[in-house]
This record gives sequence, structure tokens and C-alpha cells, in this order.
Amino acid sequence: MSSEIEVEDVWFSYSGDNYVLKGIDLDIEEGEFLAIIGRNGSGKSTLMRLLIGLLKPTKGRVIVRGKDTRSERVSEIAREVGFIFQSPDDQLFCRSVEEEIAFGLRNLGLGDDEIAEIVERTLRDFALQDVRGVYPRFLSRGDKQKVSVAAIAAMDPKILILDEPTTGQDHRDSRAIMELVKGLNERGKTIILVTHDMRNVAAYAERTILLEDGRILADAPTRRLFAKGELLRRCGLAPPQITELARSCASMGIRPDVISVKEMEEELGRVLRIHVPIHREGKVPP
Amino acid sequence: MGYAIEVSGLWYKYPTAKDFVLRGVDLRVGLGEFLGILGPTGSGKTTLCMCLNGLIPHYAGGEMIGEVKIFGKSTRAKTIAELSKRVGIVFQDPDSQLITSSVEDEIAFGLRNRGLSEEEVGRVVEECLRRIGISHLRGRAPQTCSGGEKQKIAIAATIAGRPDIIVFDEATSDLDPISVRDVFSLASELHESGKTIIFVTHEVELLAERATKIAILADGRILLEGDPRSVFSRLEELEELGLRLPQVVQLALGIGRMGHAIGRLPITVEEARDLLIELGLGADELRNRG
Repeated sequence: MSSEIEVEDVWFSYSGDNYVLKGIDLDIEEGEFLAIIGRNGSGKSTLMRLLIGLLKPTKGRVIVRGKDTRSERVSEIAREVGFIFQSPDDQLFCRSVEEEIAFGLRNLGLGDDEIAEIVERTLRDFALQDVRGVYPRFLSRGDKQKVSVAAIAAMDPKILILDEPTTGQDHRDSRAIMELVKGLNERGKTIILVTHDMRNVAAYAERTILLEDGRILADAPTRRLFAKGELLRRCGLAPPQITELARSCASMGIRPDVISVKEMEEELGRVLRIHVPIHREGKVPP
Repeated sequence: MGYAIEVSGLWYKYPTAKDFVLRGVDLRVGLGEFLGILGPTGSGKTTLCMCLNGLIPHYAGGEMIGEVKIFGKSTRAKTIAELSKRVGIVFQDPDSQLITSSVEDEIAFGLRNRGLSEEEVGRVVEECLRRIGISHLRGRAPQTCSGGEKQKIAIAATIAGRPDIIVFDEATSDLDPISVRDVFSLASELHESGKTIIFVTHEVELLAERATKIAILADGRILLEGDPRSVFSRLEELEELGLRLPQVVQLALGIGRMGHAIGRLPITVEEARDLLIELGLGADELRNRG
């Protein structure tokens, strides 16, 4: 494993005095699935913009796969890091799903044959064949988000940053997007997920960074961080309901760091010796 | 009890659309009810909200069949201005709602339009800023605020007009978890002070704790309605729609499927904890201590 992104003592200010980020140190390894959480205004969006080179550190440096964002062009960094916007409407502008996927590939300077081949493969991987000719804006919100992930993934960046990819989506769509992202991670992509959805953080991210007032307050395995309910609440966050239940039962022998319904069922099986079937959340089709 | 809202046989089609979005909605909301509306994306939730303050049909045009009554009066017979005094809506996208260049003006806007004295406007603005916890933003331009702050400004501006019915249409989707809880608490406070609340959201855990009634909107119709406990016990129908149940409900239903009696379905953390204790959790600890 090697470092994909190194953030070294990064300070950032929009105005020259008030620092939005205050000494961020962060090492992200290849293949990680990392979540960045924190209240509104904690510095998440600024940090994200620094990671894709849109903003340059006021002090310190950001190295993306060996490239210093202060000296590299944004387009160079963009080959390494794909960024998926919160609102797919900010990202989609072509006349068809197919063209949307081909657009970035043309910008990379690929030949027509290669582009056609990648477009086909991506349409297949993301199950978008049926809507290939459709104007993206006519798609449902969930499908639009799927197209924006597909268009970025087609360019094959090593790192994907997703800014609140599931906001305002229903459970089915949210789950579908997260499963796609999980698949990309399993194929070796480094994933950085910025979100307020603590259930998705619990279900998908192995490591979580907690930002508060421009500083990293915690950098830990997600499970360990979520067991600290007080810390999360102090930072404007809250663990999933099932973790709250486990914590409230901790004095009765339940592990306090449970992060999913399935784990809670396993805990009950262990402590009460009752057998509970595999939980049904997984039955909602992806 | 009188009805705050009566929706009868409501069909609606947007001007350029081919199909009806609402396809026969029947819904009665009692005075002082806290109604949660759940439904998959595209089921017509926002459209239904727009029917409550007359944006449909007065502003949006299109084809509307059936009737919406607010406090017994048909929305067709009232103007949007008249309706907005009774029904306040906070939408998902605050940018669609914020129009002035300072947070104070934003909250004062509706009040000035009603001819309140500057002194009174000042007093109400002050109270709303404090209540929502955004006094520090008073001089800022709403457009320069973060997504979460904008949501709060839109909520403050809505409650400033003292509407009897307050509709939150996915108004918490840009907020961090504690702010989401704050908005739910605020809605509960408003509810306790006698307001009728309509809350459209995907936050089932928080809704289960607060709502007096839940309606499931699917494909332009009300598919299910009732108190939270009875609605959340309909696992198959909700899963079919791709909707999620509160995590403690998922757990309890799992326990129930194994033949363990769960009695009353738990819908909060405390209730779930009580159920686990009934099932014997903590019994060893009690014995050891006792």
C-alpha cells in the first residue's frame, strides 16, 4: 500500500485572516474507503476542494499521487481524482447518457474506438443500457446520480470523492448508489465519502475522519468513532439509531460499538441465545 | 375535531406533462395533527405540498381535478396570498425561497407585506432569529450562507408569518444530524403550541418519535395511513416501495419472525430497550446484583 493523498499541515483561508482549515494532516492509502464527517461549516467542503486542486493551501501542501496541487494544473489532478457533485444537475449537461459518459473520455484525448469501447463497458457495468439515448435531465434523481458516477468512473481515476451523493434520495436510490461505489472500491478505487448520512458511513466506510472547526478531531476506524456518542453529538452529529440502542444496553452485556441492525441481531443471539434471522434491510433490491 | 386540511379525489397534471402526478389523493388532517409523509422519489410528495398553499393550481397551472380545503375553504376560492397566511411551506431547496439581501429582511419580508409596524416587525424578526438559533447571521446575505444556514433562514421566514399549518417538504436534507434533530424538535414545539404540522422526510427514525400520524404516498395516491406504530408494522408494503423502516423496528420485526412475542411494536430506542429487557436482557446482571 502506498499513499494516494498526503495532506501536510494544511491551513486555508478564503479571506487572508480567518482560517477555515487549521493544520490538517491526513494520509490516505490506496484502496481505502474513507468518510469525512462534521457539522455544516466544519470545513468539509473546503478540504474536498483542496483534495481536487480547485483550491490551493494557504500554508502546507497537498500531494495527490505524487503531484503537488500547488504546482500541477487542475486538469492534471483531475486525471487522478474524480469528483462527484452533490447535485447531479451540476454535473450533467450533454444530450444523452452515452454522450455524458463519452465527454470526459474525449477530454482525456482518447481515440474514438477506445471511447466507444469504454462507453459500452460503463453502460453495462452501471446497468444504463436502456437509457443510453435519454436526455440525462429527464431521468429520475436516482438515475441521474448513477449517470454522474458512471461518467466519472469511466475516466478511470484512481480516487473518487463523493460529496453527499445520497442527499434527498429515497432509500432504494441511496442504497443503489452506495452499492455502486462499494463495487468501485472493491475494484481498487480509493473512495472518499463526504456525508451527513451516518448509516451509510457505518455501512460502508472503514475509516472516518471527524472535522470540527477546521481541525481533525478524530481519525479512527468507523466503529470505534461511532461508539463515542458524546463526541459525535458535541460535533453536531449523531450515531445511527441502532448504535444508540446498543449503547443504552451496554450495562446489560451488549457491545456498545454495534453499527448495524445485523450486528445487533448477532449480539442478541450471543447474549440472549435467541436466534434472529438475517435482517431484511438487504432485501430491498439494489 | 375540525379538519385543518381535507384533500378529496385530488388529481393533478403539470402543464406540459403527459401523465398525472397525483392520481386520486384522499387525505384528512385534523387540527393540531403532526402528519409525517413518506414516499419514494417521484411519488408526488412535493406536488401535494404545493396543492396545500394554492401554488397549485393558481401559480403552476396544469390540470387539477378534485378539491383541497384548508379550514373548510376550497383553495380554488382563495388567492395564494390569502392561503399563505394560513399555510407556510419550507421547501427542500432554500435557494428557491430566499430572495432578499439580508437575513433580517428575509424574515421581515412577509411581515412588511402585511403592513405590520416596523416596531412589530423588528420584534417578530428578533424572536424568530433567536428561536431558530441564527441571531449571528442577521446581517449576512442569505446567498453567502451555507446550505444548512439557508435552510434555517427559510424556516425562520416561514414561521415569522405565524401560519396555522406548517409544511416541511424535505426541509432537512442539507442539514447536519444535530440540526436535523433541531428542526424536528422545533416542529414538535410548534405542534405542541397548537400548529398543524406536515413533515415530508426520509428520516424515519425521527418521524417515528414525533409524528401523531404517518401517510405513505406512492404513485400519486395515499397507500397507507395511520399512527406510526401501525404503519411501520406493514413491512412488506413498505419494502415493496423501497422505503426503510426505523432500525429498532427492523430489529423488533426480526425478533418477532423467530416466534418471540414482541407485543407492542417498539418505535423508539427506549421502547426497543424495554422489549429487550422483557426478552431477558440484563437478567443475569440483575441476578448477580440481587
